[in-house]
Amino acid sequence: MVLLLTSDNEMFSVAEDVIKRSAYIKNMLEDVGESDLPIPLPNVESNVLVKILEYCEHYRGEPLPASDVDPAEIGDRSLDIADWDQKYMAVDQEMLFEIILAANYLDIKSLLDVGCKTVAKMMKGKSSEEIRTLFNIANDFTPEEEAQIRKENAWAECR
Amino acid sequence: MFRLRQTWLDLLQLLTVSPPPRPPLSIAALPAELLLSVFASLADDDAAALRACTLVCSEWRALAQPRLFHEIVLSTADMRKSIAFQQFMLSSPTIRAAVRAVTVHFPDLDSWAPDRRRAANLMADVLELLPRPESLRLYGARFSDYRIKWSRLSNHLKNSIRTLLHRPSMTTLLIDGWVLDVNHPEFNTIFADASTSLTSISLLDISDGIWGVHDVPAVPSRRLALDKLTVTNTFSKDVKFIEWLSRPESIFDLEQLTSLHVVESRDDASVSLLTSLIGPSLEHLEVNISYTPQDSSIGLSTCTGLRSLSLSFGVFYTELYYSSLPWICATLDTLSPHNALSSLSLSLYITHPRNTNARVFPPPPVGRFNYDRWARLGAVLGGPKFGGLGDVRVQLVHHGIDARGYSLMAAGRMGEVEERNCLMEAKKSKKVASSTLKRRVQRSAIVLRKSIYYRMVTLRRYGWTGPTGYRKIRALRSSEQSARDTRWDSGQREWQDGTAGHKGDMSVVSAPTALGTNAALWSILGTLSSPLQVRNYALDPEDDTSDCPVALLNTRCTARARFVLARRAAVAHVGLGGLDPVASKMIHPVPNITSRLRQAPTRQSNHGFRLRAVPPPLLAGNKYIVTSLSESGSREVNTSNRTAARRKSIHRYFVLSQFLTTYTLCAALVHILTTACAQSRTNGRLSYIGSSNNNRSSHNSNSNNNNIAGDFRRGCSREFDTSLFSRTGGTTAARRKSIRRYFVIRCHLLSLSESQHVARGNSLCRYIAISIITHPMAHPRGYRKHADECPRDRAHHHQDLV
Repeated sequence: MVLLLTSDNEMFSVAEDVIKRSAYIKNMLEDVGESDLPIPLPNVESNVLVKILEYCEHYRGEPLPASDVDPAEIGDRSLDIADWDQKYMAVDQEMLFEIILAANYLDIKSLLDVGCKTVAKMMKGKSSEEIRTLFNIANDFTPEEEAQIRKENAWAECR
Repeated sequence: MFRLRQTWLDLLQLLTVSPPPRPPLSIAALPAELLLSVFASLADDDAAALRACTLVCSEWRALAQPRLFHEIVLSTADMRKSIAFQQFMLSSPTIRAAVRAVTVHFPDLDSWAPDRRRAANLMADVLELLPRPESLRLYGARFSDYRIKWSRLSNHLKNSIRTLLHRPSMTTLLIDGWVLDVNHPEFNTIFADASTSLTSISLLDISDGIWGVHDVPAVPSRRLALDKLTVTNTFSKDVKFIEWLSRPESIFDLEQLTSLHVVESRDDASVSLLTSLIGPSLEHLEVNISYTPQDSSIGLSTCTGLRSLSLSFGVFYTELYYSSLPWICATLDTLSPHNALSSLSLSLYITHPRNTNARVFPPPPVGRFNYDRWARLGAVLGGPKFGGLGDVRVQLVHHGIDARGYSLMAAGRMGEVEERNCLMEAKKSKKVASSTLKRRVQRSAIVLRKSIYYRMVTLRRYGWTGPTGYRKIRALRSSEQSARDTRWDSGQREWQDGTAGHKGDMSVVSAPTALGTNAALWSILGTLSSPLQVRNYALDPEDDTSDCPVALLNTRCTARARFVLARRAAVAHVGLGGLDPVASKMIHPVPNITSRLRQAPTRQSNHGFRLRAVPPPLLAGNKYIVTSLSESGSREVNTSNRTAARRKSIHRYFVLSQFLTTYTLCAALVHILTTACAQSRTNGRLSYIGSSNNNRSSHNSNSNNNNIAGDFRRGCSREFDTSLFSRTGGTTAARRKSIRRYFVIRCHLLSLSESQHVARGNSLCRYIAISIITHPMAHPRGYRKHADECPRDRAHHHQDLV
């Protein structure tokens, strides 16, 4: 078992084969070796870690991705997400970004991939104005700048 | 006082125990690399949404807009756009730095107007502006007579390509359809300054270079060590190119190659040369077999490090006829006992995808196939040599058969391998995932439409002619109860002649070829004199031509047969957009061919083509000829159309223009037999095929045939043109395209046939363009008369081939 200490000082005891999906923890365990001391996770809160552990528990036993794989080649580039992953990611935006940040911090590539795809899927088929509304982003372009960008983007349209 | 103190303590406790409240997390909290990952996911799925992302805010623009230009395609199609794009790239350093993949599309040189040359220079400007490209793909017109040639490019464009290859980020180069018409030193010069990171190179159809033994440069001081190589191995120049690549003087060092892909391979020796050179470093080998002699194999004895092997076979290797399994077994046998093979992938055709109407033309039952070859493969794979083989994937492309049943039977015969881990995928040919196979299937669909049309016309011809040979065959067929099943046996099971007292003896052992040969055989059978019988008959089972004459000659044609014929005719009308009204009017007195078919004509006098009885010596020669045909004859004969002719990798190709006649078919057979006899060093039989009521013509025909065979046997005549009125067009085109055994047979010419254009537009080996356009004077007498008027006819007399 591995002890994890979250940023809000909650202690979690997790099976080693579950948490080894996180390359960060895996490397730390390999470097440090067996220890009774908890591993501090200052960037992860307990509610997020619960969610992360739910993911790791679900994929327990599945083969781990090779460590030497180019990040750009991980997963297919389509926005297809497995059914369970879709249900897992059916959370509010704040939790979604928390999961993505935690997956990035813990180096769980498959979860990070699913998170990014989920965000991309949220933007799919939407206009710039709708995306701004969706993520509450302020428009800092002048009309001239917008026109210029549209003109430049036109080169990427004629395929 | 107490209260104030209590509040202070509460506040202190609050500060020390719980962290300060955080603002709600938004997408702004994501770091740039995660946003880039999101945009990358979006780019492949919804480019419009990615463009919308560039308009969200300035921070997103900086991240998303370069992603839009990750891959760019340059073309010289529009001059105005070329100029504007060059200006845009000049003014956008971040965007040009983001370009990773560059694809260049050039039209053929025929449409190379002066402004296009300027556009090409602008393209060169753009190429030089790109600082971090990773891949460069150069595409040209593959099927044009005016392909892009390296020597015709401007120095500016050549230099810009070299500059791009010199970029440290460059890893992949693909050249497809450009002709590198350079000699060895020039070839080395192109890649002399290329980056060492350039390790993946694909050179497809570039093989018009000068790959002789002269001008061989010294061993270059610096060679490019390749990791992946893809080459075509279709034509003789490809073979020479591969030989050159394997030499130490070549700029490419293949000794550390890990992945080799040979496309459209026709020469096993070349592949063996590469594998022996690469040796243990080779890990992945993929070979697409297009046309390979059956008695050879690829040598893998040195490839001890080979982990995955993928072999795919074209439509010419259906399991029904020319099984590729013996070849596969022979290749696997060459592997060292200490191999590392863990993955084997095979893609095979079971039946030819030509037959799309399985209801009308049912394919053979799966129980009729020969599964011994699968057992042999299973025995090979189950041996200790392949103990490390964990994944065997066999993809079966089929059409019209019970694929599941076939897969189960085959897998069952493979034995242990099936139990271990053998995945048999049976795919219907229309749904093949691979793009290569897709192309083939599409091509086959085109062939099918034409072949229906062809069958229809053939029917009509035979309906008119009514040779007795067909009726005899019909009698034989009907005498056998299980005729339908038996004829799938392709000669393995003999038919017993149901009728006694026949004098003749013709044995068509097996003609496992494509449609054209069958039709040609039928034509030959149709010319036989009445006492001759066919005893052993098994033609191409997928070729329903064999049924047609029988059905038509049946004066008491059943309602179903009439329905089938009418339907077939209707399909032909739809598939071809209707008959050519001019040709139809000229050839057929009855304008509506469908109604003609429905008449189920009885024996009529020969209006158009009088097929003379074949002289008796044919009886002695037939067996030999046909045996030769089955053993070494044409394996790839397509009675196809011009559109399909433009596609590559069809060898021994027939373009049947306008209406088929018996002349055409027999002429085709003459060619096939000629080739077969040339290979088997016998020649005498051919002269009997040509027959005419004119002795002089017959003599000339014989000599002509002998000449053909002689030329082929000597191997010196690579181009053969018996065109009547083609002037120099056909031969010139053939020479230019290095078409071997070019063969234009043209009887009557009303307009310039497209066959030459077809020939020019292809790099076809053993190309046969047969174009017969008949007119009301297609009557034999009229034909001869016309031929006599033309002095060139005497020199060729190709019309007397039949």
